[in-house]
Amino acid sequence: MGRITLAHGSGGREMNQLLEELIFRKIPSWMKFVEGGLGIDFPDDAAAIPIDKERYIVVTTDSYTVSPIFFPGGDIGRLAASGTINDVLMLGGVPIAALDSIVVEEGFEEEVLEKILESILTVFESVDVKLIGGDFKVMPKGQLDKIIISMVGLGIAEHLIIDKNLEVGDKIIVSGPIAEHGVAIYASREELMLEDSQLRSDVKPLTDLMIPIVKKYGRDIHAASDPTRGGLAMTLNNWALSSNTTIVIDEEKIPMREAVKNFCEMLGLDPFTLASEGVAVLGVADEVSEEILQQMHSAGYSEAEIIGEVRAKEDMGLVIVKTSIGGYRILEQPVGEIVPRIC
Amino acid sequence: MLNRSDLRIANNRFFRNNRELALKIVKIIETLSKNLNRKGVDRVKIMNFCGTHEWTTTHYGLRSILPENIELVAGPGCPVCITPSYYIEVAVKLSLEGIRVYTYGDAYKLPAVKSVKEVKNLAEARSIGGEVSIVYSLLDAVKDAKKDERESVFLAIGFETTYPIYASIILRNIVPRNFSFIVVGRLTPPAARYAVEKVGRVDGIIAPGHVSTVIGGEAWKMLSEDYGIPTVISGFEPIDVLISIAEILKQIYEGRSDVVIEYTRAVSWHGNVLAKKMIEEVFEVCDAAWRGIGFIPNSGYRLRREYLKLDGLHLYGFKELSEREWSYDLSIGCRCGEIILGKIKPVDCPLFLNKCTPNVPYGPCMVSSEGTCSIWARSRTGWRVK
Amino acid sequence: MCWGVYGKVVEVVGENVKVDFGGVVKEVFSAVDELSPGDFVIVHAGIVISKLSEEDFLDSFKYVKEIAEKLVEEGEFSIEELREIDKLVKRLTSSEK
Repeated sequence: MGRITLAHGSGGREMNQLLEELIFRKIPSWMKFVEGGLGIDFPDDAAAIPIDKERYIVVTTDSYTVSPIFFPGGDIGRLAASGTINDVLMLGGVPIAALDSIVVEEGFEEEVLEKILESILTVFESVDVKLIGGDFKVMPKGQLDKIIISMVGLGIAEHLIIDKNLEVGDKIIVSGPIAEHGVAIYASREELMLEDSQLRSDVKPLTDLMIPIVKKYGRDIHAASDPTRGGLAMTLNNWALSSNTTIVIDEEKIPMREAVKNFCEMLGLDPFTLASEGVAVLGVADEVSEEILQQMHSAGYSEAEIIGEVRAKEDMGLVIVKTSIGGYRILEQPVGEIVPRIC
Repeated sequence: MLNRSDLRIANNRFFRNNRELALKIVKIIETLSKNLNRKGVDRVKIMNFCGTHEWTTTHYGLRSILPENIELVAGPGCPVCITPSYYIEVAVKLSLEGIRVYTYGDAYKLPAVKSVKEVKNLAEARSIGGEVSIVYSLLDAVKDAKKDERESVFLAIGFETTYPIYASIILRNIVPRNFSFIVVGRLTPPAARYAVEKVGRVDGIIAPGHVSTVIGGEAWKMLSEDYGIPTVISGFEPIDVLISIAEILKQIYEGRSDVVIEYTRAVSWHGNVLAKKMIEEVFEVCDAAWRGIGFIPNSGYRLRREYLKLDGLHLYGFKELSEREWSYDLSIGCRCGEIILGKIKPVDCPLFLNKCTPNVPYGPCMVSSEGTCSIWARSRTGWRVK
Repeated sequence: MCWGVYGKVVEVVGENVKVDFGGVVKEVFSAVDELSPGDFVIVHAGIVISKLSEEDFLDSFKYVKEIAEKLVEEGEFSIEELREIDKLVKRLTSSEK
């Protein structure tokens, strides 16, 4: 067996392969889910356990590391809290509470930790989520890069949104401009922010967007995801694979801010593979797609767009992009560490 | 007139996000191709010499909207792919001896043929303690090297486009004392000449736009004069490439073979005279090896004698690669040599997306973002998407 | 190895220039003489390799027009098509104001 590389953690094809080989394959099928619920048989960072005939408890888990820990538009605390809430939301749940587990490196400044905790609390307060438990550990200097936050999110759902339910004819909606978080992180890492304040992470909880839509359109929402690691490319490829369909999107329709486009161009990065932390991608029934879009617009997500649709699996479960000049290309799952190009 | 306040926006509007015009040009191309058909020309093979052109072709899905009898192939257009294995082996060795090796991200995973202490690329070298740093630019490396006294080398890969910065930094005398270069600069026209001589029929050439900002349109006139091949120096937006294809077809139809600059907003006939002068002051042209291909006359740069102290190979006692000592430097079964020359397509190689993937690249063309195999693996548009 | 990025010169700093890449400003070297603020340039690997020419910017389209005209002459292409292309280019240029 080889060694684990950074690419295995980039959320791309490598990670899926590694998890499949090392973990999923080894778990006996009875262990993968609680009867009537959603488990690791459908690999995701969220699961559900039925409470009664009409409701489920939604549980999610995720670990957050980011460098730098304070970045334009947020910090690791805001990232962890928002990410946890969004994971619950994307499964169709109403977030109720969370637990956190914080590990810091010896020598970490108390003042910084305090700031991070404030960020977590601010987010939870804004969307009425309780922080009901947690853990705190310190690792010897050098054994950890500053701080890792793990969170568990809890929520209640009446209907689960499971991405494999995407249907032919469904429309794909993106709630706002993509790649904002990924670009902000890159820019701050490479000291490219110098004279620019336009590149900011979009990190935020999507409660105000998702709850009303889920309530109103519940079963017409066939897939929901926040395109974090691996970006839109990862999300849509996962959907196409798990729902056994082909997804066709129009490059011209995908909302993206000019500053983000320019930045990606400068470093030769593909924005479709960069993370958003405050964007939802939905796969919804054709009949309600325009309504949902209007609702998003009036909820303040004015840049939301229908970017494409789901077609039958005639092209091997691929994601196909109609390009800006009307050609077509296949959008692959992201592979490898994302390295800017010089060539 | 043009929007003077932002030529970038104008560029995107005219040459990139322009579905309507693209459709019209495709219509023109279809008409030209039918005309050629009637003349008995049933297939047209057009070769590009720049990874970025291949990227444009696949990224914008040009193959999916062009008539099937127009074949777009990628020639030697990736400086990372053609970097001989020997230089990677030297860099790996140096990194393991504690000399800091700076590299562009593209070459980080470039595999050597022979292993050094059981590792075959700089990424693996770093994982066993080798000193390797990925940088965005030479300037970043210089800045970083100045922070301490550690001896450092820069893996100076690149075509003519990338050499002005090397020359500039040396001429300005701001290379830190602990800093040297592994010079693997290569020239594109000699490789183009080699490719059209070895590959068999090529009907038209899309010449590299940014290389040509430096060397000028005149550097390509041998393609029309010596080989009678219509040659268009093209920009990198999809509309640029479509216009270039139309122009090539028109020339074929008229029985002409001229060198034409389509990339008028950036390229002149004589190129960037200042940049050429800078390169010439620091480097001289020599015969040089291309990976999987061998030595091509007058196709490489090396430091002039007065700058030999900046030559990492010289400094650390490695011999320059000579034609006599060069041996075939691709791993068994790898067909990158043929892919680089445009003889075959990635899908013709049995290793493509089997044993050779972007995750575990076997051959050099799967490593760099400019490598034909890597580009095809990322969007598979070599397969025509309906 | 041709990844070139378009940017606008905002300041000349000795032998270097500060270039705005649409939101991100970086100081880079230059291999082009006599740059001044407002010039648009192509930067590759940290150095300006070319200045974009405003006059020649749309010259690329002359090939399209020439080819289309020739095709019309030969009766391969309808005059309406040619007019449409003409209109398209004109509309693009006029909307630039």
